[in-house]
Amino acid sequence: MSNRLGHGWGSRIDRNAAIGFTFEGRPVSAHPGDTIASALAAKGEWILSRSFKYHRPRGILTMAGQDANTLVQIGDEANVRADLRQVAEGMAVTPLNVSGSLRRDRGRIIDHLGRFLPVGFYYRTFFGPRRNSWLKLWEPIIRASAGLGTVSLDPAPRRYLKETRHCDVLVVGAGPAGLAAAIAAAEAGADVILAEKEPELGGALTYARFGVETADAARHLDALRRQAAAAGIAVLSGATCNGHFADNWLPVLQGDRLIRIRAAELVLATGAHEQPLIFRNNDLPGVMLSSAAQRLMRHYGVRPGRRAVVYAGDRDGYLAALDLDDAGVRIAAVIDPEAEDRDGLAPELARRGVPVMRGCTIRQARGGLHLKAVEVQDRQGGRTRLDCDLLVMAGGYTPGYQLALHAGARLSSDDGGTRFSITGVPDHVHLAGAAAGLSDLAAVIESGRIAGLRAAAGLGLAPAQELPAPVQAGWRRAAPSPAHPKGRDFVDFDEDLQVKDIENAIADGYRELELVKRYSTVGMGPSQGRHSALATARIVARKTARSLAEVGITTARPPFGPERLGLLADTTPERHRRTPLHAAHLAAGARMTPVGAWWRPLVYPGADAPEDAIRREIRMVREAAGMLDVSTLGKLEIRGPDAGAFLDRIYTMAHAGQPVGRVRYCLALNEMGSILDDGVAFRLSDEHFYVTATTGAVDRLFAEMMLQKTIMGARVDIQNVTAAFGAMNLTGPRAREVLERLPGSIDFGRAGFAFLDGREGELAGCPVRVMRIGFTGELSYEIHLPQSHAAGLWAALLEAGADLGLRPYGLEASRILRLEKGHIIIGQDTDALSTPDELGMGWALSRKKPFYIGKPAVERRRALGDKRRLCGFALPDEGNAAGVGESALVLQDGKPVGHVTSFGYSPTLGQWIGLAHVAPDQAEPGSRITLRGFAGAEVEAPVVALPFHDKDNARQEM
Amino acid sequence: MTALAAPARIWPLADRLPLLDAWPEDGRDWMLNLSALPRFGLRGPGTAAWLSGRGCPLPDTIHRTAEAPGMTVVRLGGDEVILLADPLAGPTGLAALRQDWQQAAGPKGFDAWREETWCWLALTGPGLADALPLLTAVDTRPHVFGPGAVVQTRALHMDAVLVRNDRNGQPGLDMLFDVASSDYAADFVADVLAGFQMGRLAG
Amino acid sequence: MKIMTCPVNGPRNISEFQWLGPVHAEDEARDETLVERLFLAPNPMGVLREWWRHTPSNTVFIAERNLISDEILRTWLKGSDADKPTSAA
Repeated sequence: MSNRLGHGWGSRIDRNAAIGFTFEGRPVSAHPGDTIASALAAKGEWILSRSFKYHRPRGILTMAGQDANTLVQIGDEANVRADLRQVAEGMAVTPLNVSGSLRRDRGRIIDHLGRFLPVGFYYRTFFGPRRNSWLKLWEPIIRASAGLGTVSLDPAPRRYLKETRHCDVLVVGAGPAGLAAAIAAAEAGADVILAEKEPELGGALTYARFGVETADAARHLDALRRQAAAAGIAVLSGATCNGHFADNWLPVLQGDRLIRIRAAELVLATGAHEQPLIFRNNDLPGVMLSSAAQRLMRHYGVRPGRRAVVYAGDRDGYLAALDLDDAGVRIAAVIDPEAEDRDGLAPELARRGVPVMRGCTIRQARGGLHLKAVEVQDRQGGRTRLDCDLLVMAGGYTPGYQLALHAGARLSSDDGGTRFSITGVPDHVHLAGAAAGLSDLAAVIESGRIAGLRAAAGLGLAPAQELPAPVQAGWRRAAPSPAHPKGRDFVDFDEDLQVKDIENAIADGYRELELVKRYSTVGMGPSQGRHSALATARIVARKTARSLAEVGITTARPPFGPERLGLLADTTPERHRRTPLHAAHLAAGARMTPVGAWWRPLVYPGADAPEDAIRREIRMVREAAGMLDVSTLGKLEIRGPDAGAFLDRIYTMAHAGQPVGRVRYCLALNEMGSILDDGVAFRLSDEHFYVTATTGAVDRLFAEMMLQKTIMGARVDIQNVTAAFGAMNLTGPRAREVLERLPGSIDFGRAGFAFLDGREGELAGCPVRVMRIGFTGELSYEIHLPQSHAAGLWAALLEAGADLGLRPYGLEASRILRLEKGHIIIGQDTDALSTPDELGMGWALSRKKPFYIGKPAVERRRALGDKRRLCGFALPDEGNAAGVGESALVLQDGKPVGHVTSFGYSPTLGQWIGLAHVAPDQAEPGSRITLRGFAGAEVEAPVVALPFHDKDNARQEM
Repeated sequence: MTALAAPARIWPLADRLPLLDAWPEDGRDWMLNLSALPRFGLRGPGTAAWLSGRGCPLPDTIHRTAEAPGMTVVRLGGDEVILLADPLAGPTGLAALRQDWQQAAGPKGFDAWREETWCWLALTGPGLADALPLLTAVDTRPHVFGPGAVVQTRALHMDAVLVRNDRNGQPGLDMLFDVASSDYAADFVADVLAGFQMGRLAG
Repeated sequence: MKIMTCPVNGPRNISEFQWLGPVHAEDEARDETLVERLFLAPNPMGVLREWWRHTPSNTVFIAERNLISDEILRTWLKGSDADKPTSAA
């Protein structure tokens, strides 16, 4: 038999249409606009889940997504709140945390084992019964039973978008206060965004009752909606504001879209969360908040029960009773703990024939899978049983404090010490409505209007006069929370925590609320304390003889509510950078690798296995010619009258006097005297240097240069042209021959173009800067040119040198080639502490310059002596049986004194060679060092003088 | 020695976007690659003086544009300017201006290599206002970022220069950013602005 | 997401900026003050002057920040009219 109410109820549903879905495989009929929970309630299915720990049957509590009772699974989507999710045709909904069915869940046995699961249970599992019980016994049990939804490892792809919007005023919450604030600000001329998490505007005006007659509220709702529509406000509905960050930066989640909002002024009209009351079995299906019952009736046209008891710990209980009576629900009684009528609503109830029991509390609810009756206790201890299938609780309110606390506000309590209030709201943030502690409708609307005007005043759009906030007279009840000797009187429904759990935590010594939370896990469930924080704080206050304000709450931090990882994750394509020769590498069959953000060729295998191809490339460079794409190198244009003096300050060598047309090595240190970066500087003219840097360090170096330029006030323009220029290093004994085959303006002959010379000119129709530098130790020309010309020149060079044996080569071969010459790689052979002295590069430190960055430190460290040195070594045997590799330890007297930084097989030498940090007294050629390989064995290797190949460095000067 | 013709210059995204004959007139949303079009950037002392001296209109304040025949003048700093050819105009005066600059004596600023450092993408169409918040976190509301406005900020997760440049009666945006990230940028726009058509114009 | 106001580009998300370290009393390190400069980072209960860089435009500037409240008090370009010593905070 359907629980639907007649017309006049159910503002969100369309009775003319029907939607079908399934729950636990059973078909359910619903209307468009229904949520899963309201459709099931209409059908009379009130059990939605089994509780987290005790597997007790649970159903609707808040009907507002503020409890975990309603979490369900829909296909591959886990942890959906059934009281918020609208039904769609064909939805397959399944419950969580059940073995078997909801009604006959096998886990329900745990409810009877409760006394073996005391508070702090998880903490205790680390102590017994045996030493590793936590790992062998408890962890598998807890893991199998923990968790709620099932995460799919192969989910259907979803598209998430992120956008950023700016506004003058953001109003969070479109209840009466929020609407009034948005309207006032917009009418004052502000650019306003209004964010509301419900699908419609109006907040409590859409479901609550404010007095005996209801026409007033309906009129306000209609007027506010019309004014909002006319005021040009940007409305985001179904949009949850999930946090507050610095300078009014707030994320709003709307479906699959994350909207980051930057607001100059912020109005928080976040309402208040109704609180449950505490008594034994207060978690039975059929026990719900008064606002939950009202939402079921007004939004979805569902009768929440047939025979009700109303537990009025707050005035709103009486108003809900009037609603239930209007809907035709029989009311057995209104239970009011207060002895006197202070709300003035008793006459109306009497007129309707609804009994009121004063000075009474509810001692327990009774029922198995659903509420059957309640036991009422009066002040003399007398007990009365009332049969019912619905118990509606009105426990008062906690303001929606989360966003305000994210922003830096604090929770204190009202004068009566019975409920929380928000204080210390920072500048540019304004509270309105129930969040500010108001409940009278006129006061709420007025406070919204004032908040909107204050926001406008903050923008200079309205006069900044002192606008008094409305003060609402009235008193608040203190809701009783007696502990029942048999327990099951729940404080936190998500975590299955009873009053005695909180009391036992305190008795175990955890008196501070932060410790109570961590020991008991109260407030750590999906609703994050929204229905438990106040009750917990009251219990702690009572048991530790402190006031509510002294106890406080644990801080609120973002996120306010659940957020899908897809909304947080960057789902846009990963950033990568390509050199201008990228397409050519792919066409030549290169195996590419990411190096930081860049794609670079590792090797060009052709028909060979990669290992063989690498050796082939090395041989090719040593015997004929090879070409490496070095376009990722950092490149800087340094131009201006102070260019030379500026480089003298940044680098260790002398550049101010560097001749035009010459290329000089440059080494940059930080103020600690450690190596920052290296490269070469090519002087193109008196006031123009072209400087290279390593791929990885150029951005950091460029930032440092910009800082030094500003500090010095140097007349120099520094431009990072790394990507604007392509670069290729043509190297090998036949490199000159290749170049001389192309038309151009540069004389590549040995006499005209010596080692460490640089030339500008034209080559094959392309404007080029060529430097005779390299790291392979062979005759090398590094050609830099604007990136739009690079692919054309690369192809021309390969064509010209094809019959000479010229081929491109990749990073793997390059690493061995430079290792054979003992050239260091910054960041591999150096670390944050490496000084030039350790690397045998003291020659690069100018003695003449009075200052360069790092000079005082490097001289101080020199006086302290080296702690280690970088040296070359070779394995004695042809094989590498010990498994030496990069990071292998260097030992002295059994203790580590260093490690291998570079290592590889040299086909040129027929040996395994490497570089390593060693103790200073081991570093001389002729010494022997002990290496521990990754295979576990140790090997003794001789220290070899650098370079390994071509000891005189004659080949590069051909 | 082989006599070779100067190899063709290659501009970003040439191999993945269809070549259009002309600026689209269909009123739809487009992302257009303009990297092959002429541009000329100057920076450093003497830039503003040399350009003014040659009669090139300069915006009074930085981060604004000015119109000149066949080009948009974008002022990025007191002494930093980039000239973007107008894709709707015929052959521009840019080539002549560049040649004059190369032959002039200083102070005249430095060549900023702007045809090489940056990829140049244009977004145009009625969907621009809704597209901008998806690309950048800076305030792009029409009254804050209107035609002629220039902003140096981050967009597409990169440093970028954004220029509001309406063409053909449609709202438009020019984006200038790291040339090495061109393919990434096209992937990003395709992912985030799924409704935009894509194409390129020749130089 | 904090806002930092670049003297040239105006208020922007702090993700557009790079911190470059405290403003030292001396431009160049000296042996006598080296240890203090390298290892005793200024961390006052009050205002600190720092170098910052707006990365998209390469604007290097100075910011005065209150280390207790993390409030950025003002920003200015070295050598501009605003580059005058303020009263001790």
